[in-house]
Amino acid sequence: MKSCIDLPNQPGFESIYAPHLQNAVNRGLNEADEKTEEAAVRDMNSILSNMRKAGADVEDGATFNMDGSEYDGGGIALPIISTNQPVNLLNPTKVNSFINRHKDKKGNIKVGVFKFKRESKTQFKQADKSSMDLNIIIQPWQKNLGLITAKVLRQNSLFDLDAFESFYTGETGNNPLRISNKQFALIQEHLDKGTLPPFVVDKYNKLGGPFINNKGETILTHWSNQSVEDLIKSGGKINPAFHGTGKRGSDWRNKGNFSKQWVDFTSYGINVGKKGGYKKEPGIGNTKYEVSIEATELYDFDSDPAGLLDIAKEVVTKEGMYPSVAKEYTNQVYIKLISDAGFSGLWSKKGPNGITASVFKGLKPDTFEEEKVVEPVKPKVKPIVPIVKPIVPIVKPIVPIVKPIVPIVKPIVPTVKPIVPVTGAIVTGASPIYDKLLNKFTNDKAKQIINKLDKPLIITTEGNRGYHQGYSDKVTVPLDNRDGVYIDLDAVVLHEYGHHIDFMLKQIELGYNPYHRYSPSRAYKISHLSADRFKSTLVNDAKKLGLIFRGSVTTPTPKEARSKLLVNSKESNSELVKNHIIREEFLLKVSKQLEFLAGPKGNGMIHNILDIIDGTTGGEFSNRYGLYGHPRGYWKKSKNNKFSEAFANLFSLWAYTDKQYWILAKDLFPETTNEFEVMMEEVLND
Amino acid sequence: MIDIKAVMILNKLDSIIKDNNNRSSFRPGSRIYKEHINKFGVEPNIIFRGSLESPKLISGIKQAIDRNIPYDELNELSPEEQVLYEQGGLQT
Repeated sequence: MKSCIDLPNQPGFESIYAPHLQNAVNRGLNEADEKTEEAAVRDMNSILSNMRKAGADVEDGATFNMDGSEYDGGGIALPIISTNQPVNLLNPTKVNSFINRHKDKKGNIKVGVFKFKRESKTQFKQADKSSMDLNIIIQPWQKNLGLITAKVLRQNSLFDLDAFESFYTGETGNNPLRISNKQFALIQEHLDKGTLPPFVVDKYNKLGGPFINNKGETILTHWSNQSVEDLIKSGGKINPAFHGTGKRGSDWRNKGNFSKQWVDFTSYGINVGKKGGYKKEPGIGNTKYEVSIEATELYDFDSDPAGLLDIAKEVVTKEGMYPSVAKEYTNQVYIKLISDAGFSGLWSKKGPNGITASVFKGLKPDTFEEEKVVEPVKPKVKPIVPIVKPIVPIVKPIVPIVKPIVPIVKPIVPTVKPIVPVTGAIVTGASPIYDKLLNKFTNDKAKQIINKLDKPLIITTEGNRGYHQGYSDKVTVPLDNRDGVYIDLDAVVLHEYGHHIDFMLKQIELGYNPYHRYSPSRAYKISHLSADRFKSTLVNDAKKLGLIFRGSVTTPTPKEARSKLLVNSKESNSELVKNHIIREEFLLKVSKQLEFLAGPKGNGMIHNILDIIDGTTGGEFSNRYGLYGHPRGYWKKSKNNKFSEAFANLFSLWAYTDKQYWILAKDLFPETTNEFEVMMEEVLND
Repeated sequence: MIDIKAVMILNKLDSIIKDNNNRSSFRPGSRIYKEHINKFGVEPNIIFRGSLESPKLISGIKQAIDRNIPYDELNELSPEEQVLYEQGGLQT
């Protein structure tokens, strides 16, 4: 006889919650009732029949008690023993036979029957595939232990019977490991205690990933410059928010570039001191911390068991990211997906120093050790002292008795230009810090160009603004009076130098004479080579991007286009407005992407690209979207400004040590970047 | 007769204008820029490259509005350089 539990009699409670609660209570009571064998077979028959009817693209399954009745009590199903067969062969007799084979096993054991989704037409040609599993039902706190066990047993996944969610192990499940009854019992016994049996630990540690202990934990090792005292003061945890404060990896730039997808992390070494484990690299600090983490909290980055990389690729394709940055961006989206999926970090064997982990959350160290700095051993071997004495000349030098003739003719000034080294460090003589920065930001080819041409007549690091002044070939780069950090310092140093190069190339074309450049009466012709060379290429590139049309460089705003269309609805005006829409959509898209790439703090190299686009729109771009560029008045001041700024921006991108920005510029402005490269080759080849 | 094509294009334009206005209304730089135009009848005279949203520029325009003097970056150059800028001989 079923009993009934009275629900609270409060106003509003019954109408909203009561039916659900009452159903749940009744279901629980029903489960307590013993089912007859006949009724269980009837239930099973109906479930299996529905499963066979389910379409090829549908996943379906059910869990049974050992008496054959359906189980819906919740928990996580950990498959221990499996058998695969075509779904059309599934019937109650088969399931009962499977159950009977394992009747001797005691504990919280259930039988799971699962029909796989067919992924392609060629897969499972004969019939849809299904598996029948003997499961141990575990609780959420045992999930880590369950995943490790399932991985060792080469099972595909665990299944959460409450959330209807799979937790994948990275194994296919096609060839599960066969275990003895003794091992089955050992697994049950250890899981109940919250540990793993030794054979599971041994097998897991032979897989080549992070080693685990019998609690399913991996030991991570972190070296830091932060002392233990400082760590305690800052909350006692190794905090990922400090990412980039130690030795910077190659990915630190992504923090600014892909800020919206960025996830802070701390780097750890895994399996330290063991074969194939992480080997400490220099410069990462001498305080060694060890932390423990549940092994399955770390996602296997290299084998990607949940297929998150494919999702990341889809996201990036949909966003239409430029090919040059797509790879790094995809990586970043992949990491974000791992974090969003609830993992605390990831591990990978792809690093140069062995197996490492990146952990997104703060971890409390279990142990620490201040490592002693080992000083390099001085060589014990004494240097070889030459035993042959130097020969002392015995002939006295002849003292001249004739006085030297004093030249009365002035020395001939060489007409041949002195040979300037084509490679090596750039020395402008401006200031040590300026030369240091110029050398730091430039690649070898750019150094050759800079060394080949005469340096600016004046370089000053005073003032608050960066500019190039053509009258006296003066470059001003504010280094001395910067307020705070100058985020685009790299771009400012290179951009202003780019103006000088452009200017110098035109002066050479006009008959520049290096021996007259210091004359006080000298005033350079205010002219740049870019005005000749980029005239058609920049316009063509801008046209291809839809930035300009009908040959005009600047166009009316959407508001003006709208009023034009209202006044006269001729086809030509419709075309004009359509072109506006193309332009606006491109600007909106590119503004979002570049703003994203620049990150919240800005990025000098992306600013260069934004500035080129801005020039072709006469300042509309920066004005309308609040992005980096020159003001409208500047572009109006001289019709050649868009060409000279494009040159300075391109020089900055081309000369910069990180080539990815130049590749991005080539994607956007193919003709102009090509012309720029030709110009640089011309300089190198005289 | 209503030109359906033109109406569709107009609708699209309207949404772009609305989107632009929405975007710019959230930006402090854009707001202070408009405030400058409303007060002085001219755009702030910006000559150096950067972003309208740079905190330094925003505070500079704000100060100019408070002092009742139009914002003018030309003042940051020497008189000779100001002449040169007007002639197109100074690139920023």
